[in-house]
Amino acid sequence: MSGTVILFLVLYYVIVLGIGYWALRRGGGEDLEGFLLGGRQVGPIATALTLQSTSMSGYMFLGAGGLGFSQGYWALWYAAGDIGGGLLNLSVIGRRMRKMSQMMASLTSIEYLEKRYPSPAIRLVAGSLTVFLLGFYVLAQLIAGGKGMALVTGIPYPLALAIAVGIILAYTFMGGYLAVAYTDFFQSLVMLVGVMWIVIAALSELGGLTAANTAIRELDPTLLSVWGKGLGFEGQWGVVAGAVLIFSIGYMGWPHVVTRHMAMSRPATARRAGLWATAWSLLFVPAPYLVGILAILILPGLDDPEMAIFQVAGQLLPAAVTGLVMAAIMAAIMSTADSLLLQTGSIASRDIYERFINPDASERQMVWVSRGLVVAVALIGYVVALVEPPTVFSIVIFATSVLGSAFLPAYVCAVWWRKANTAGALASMIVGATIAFAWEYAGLVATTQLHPMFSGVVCSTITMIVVSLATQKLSPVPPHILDAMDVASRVGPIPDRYLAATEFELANEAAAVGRALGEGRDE
Amino acid sequence: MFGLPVETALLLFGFPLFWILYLGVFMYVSRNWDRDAAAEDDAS
Amino acid sequence: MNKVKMLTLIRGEIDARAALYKLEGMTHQIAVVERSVLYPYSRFTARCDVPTMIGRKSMTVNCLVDGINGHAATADDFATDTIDSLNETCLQAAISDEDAKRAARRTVTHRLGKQLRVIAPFNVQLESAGTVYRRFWIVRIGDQRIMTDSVTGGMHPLNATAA
Repeated sequence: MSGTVILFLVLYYVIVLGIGYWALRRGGGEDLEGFLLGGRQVGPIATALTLQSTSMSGYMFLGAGGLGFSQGYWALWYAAGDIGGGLLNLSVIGRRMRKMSQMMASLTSIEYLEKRYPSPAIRLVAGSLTVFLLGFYVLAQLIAGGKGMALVTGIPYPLALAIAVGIILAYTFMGGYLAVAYTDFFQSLVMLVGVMWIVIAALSELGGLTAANTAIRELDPTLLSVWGKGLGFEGQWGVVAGAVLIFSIGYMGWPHVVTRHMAMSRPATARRAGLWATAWSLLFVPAPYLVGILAILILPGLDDPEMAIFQVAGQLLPAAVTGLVMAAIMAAIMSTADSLLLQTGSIASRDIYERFINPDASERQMVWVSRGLVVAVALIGYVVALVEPPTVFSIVIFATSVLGSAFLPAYVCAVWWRKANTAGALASMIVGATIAFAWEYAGLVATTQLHPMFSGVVCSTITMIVVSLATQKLSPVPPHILDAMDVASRVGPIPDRYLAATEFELANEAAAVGRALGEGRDE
Repeated sequence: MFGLPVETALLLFGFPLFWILYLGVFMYVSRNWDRDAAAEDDAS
Repeated sequence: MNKVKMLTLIRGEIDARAALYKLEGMTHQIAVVERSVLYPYSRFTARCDVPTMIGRKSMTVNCLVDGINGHAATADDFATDTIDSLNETCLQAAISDEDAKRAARRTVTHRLGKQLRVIAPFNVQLESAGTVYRRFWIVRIGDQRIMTDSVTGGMHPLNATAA
C-alpha cells in the first residue's frame, strides 16, 4: 500500500499513544485509581459494545468478509443470528446472572459455574475446556493481525506475524494497553465509521445494490441464493439452523462473554444495553458480510478471500482514510487478542493452578503461571499461523461450536431451572463438547447435513435435562443456591415496583440483615 | 427487491425485523426494570 | 457499669427522612422507618504498584470486606465518624481477620489485572484499618421491608420470610 496509508497508520498510533501518555502523566496515580474503581460499574453503552466486539474483531474483518466472498448471500445466515446475539444474551441471562454471581461472590465465570453447580470437577472440566478453546480464538486474532500488518506495510507475512505477536505480548506483560484503553471509545467509533464508509464506497463504485446484484447474477446466479455457491447447501436445514444459532444463542455459552454480565451496575443496565447492542448490530454486523459479497465484483482475481475487506478498503478509500481505518481495525484485533490472552492466563492461574495444584500460591507464582501459559499459547499460535494457517472463519466456527455446545445449557439453566444440578451440568458439558468436536473432525457435517453447533447444543441440552432429572435424589441442588435463584428471579420476594431500584451490590448485605432481623424477632 | 430472489430478500430484511420485534417485546416485558432510573438521573 | 461501645461509621448523606422520602416518592405509599442496622466491614488499605508505559506507578486502593459473608470489594475514599451504638442494632462480624485479608488480597489482585489488562506482579501490601460500619435504614412499606444504604441511597428488599 502507498506511503500515505502508512503515514496515517503511524499518525493514528502516535495520537492514540500520545493521549494515553498525556493522561498518565497528568493524572498519575490518582487517575489510575479512578480507572480501577470506575470499571466496577459498567454502563449500558460500554456493556453493549464490549459484549459485541470483545471476541469478534478478527472474525468480523477476515472471516465474515471471506465467507461473503466465497459463498455469496448464504453468508447472511450467520449475520441473521449474530444481529440478535447480544440482545438475546442480555435479555435471557444478563440480569439474573449478574445477581447470582454477586450473591455467590464469583470473580470469574468459571468460578461462578463451580459455585452454582458445587463440585471441583465442574471447575476442572470448564476451566480446561475454556483455556483450550480460547487458544483457538487467540490463533484467529494472530492470523488476522499478521495478515493485516503484512498487507498494510508490505513486509513479508512471517515477519509481520512476529511483530503482531510481539506487540500483543508487550501489551499483555508491560501494561502498554492501559494507554490505549483510554481511547477505546474513539477506536470503536473510527472502526464503525470506517466499515460503513467501505460499504458505501463499494456500493457507489458498483452503482447501488440492485446493479451489483444484477452483475453478480450474470456471474453466477447461485451466489444470490440462500443456499450458497452452486447451491451447495440446498435443503440442508440442519446446517442453516447451526449457522443461525451459532452467534445468536451461542453467545450465552461463551465463558469469556458472559463474564461481562458480572460487571453491570443495575437491572436497568441489562435493558438499555440490549437496546444499544441491537442498534450497533443492525449497523455493524451485516456490513462485513456485504462487503465480502460486493468484493466478488470489485476484486475478481483475489486469491485469499479473507483479505476481501482489507483489499476493498485499500482500493476504494482515500489513502489517508485507509490508513486510519486499518489502524483502528488492527488496534481492535490486537485488543481482542490481548483480552483473550488475559482471560486464558487468569483462568489457568486462578481456576486451575491455584484451585487444584497449589492452593497457597503466592501472587508472584500466579503471575508466572499466567505468563508462561500466555507465552506458550502465543508461540504455538505463531507456529500454526506460520506453517499451516487455517482460515479465521473455520477456527472461530470450530471454537464457537464446541464452547457453545458445552456451556450453553449450563449457563442458561443456572438461572432458569431449579432442578439443574451438578451431575446434569457436568454430563452436559462433556457430552456437548465431545459431540461438537467429533462432528467437526469425523466429517459428520457432510453425511448428516447437520451443523456441529446444532447437534452439539441439542445433545448437551437433552443430557442436562435427562441427567438432572435422573439424579435429583443423588445430587440435589443445595438450598442456598435455590434461595439465590429465587432472589435473582423477578418473581418471589421482590415485588416488581422495587425491582428497578434494587442495587445488585446489596444482595448479600440484605440477606444477612434479613437473617439477623428474622432471628432477632424469634428471641 | 434489489435484484435479489424473494428468499434472499426475506433473509436480508426478515431477520433484522424479527430482532427489532424481539427487542420491542423485551423492552415491554422489562419496562419496570428502570422505572426510577430516569428520576434518579434527574436528581443527580 | 455498662461501657458504651464506640464505633467507626462510614459517613452517609442519606438520613432517615431522605430514605423515607425516596421510597414514598417511588411508590406513592406511606412508609415508616423501623430502625437502623449497623453493618460491619473489615477495612484495608492496599498499596500496590502497577506497570504503565511510562514506568511503574504506585497507587492506593480502599478495600472493604463484608464482615458477615466475607465478600470483598474495592471502594472509593470515604469519610468516617465515631459514634456510640446505643440506639441501633449492630451486627457482629463473623469472619476471621485472616480470611478477610485473604479475600481482600484476592479481589484487589484480580481487579487490578482485569482492569489494567496486564499480567504483572502488583506487590500488593495490605494494611488493616480495623472495622468500619455502614448504616442501613430498614423501612417498612405495606407488607414489605426495604433496606436503604445511608451512603449511596441504594435499596434492596429484605427477604419476606425473614421479615
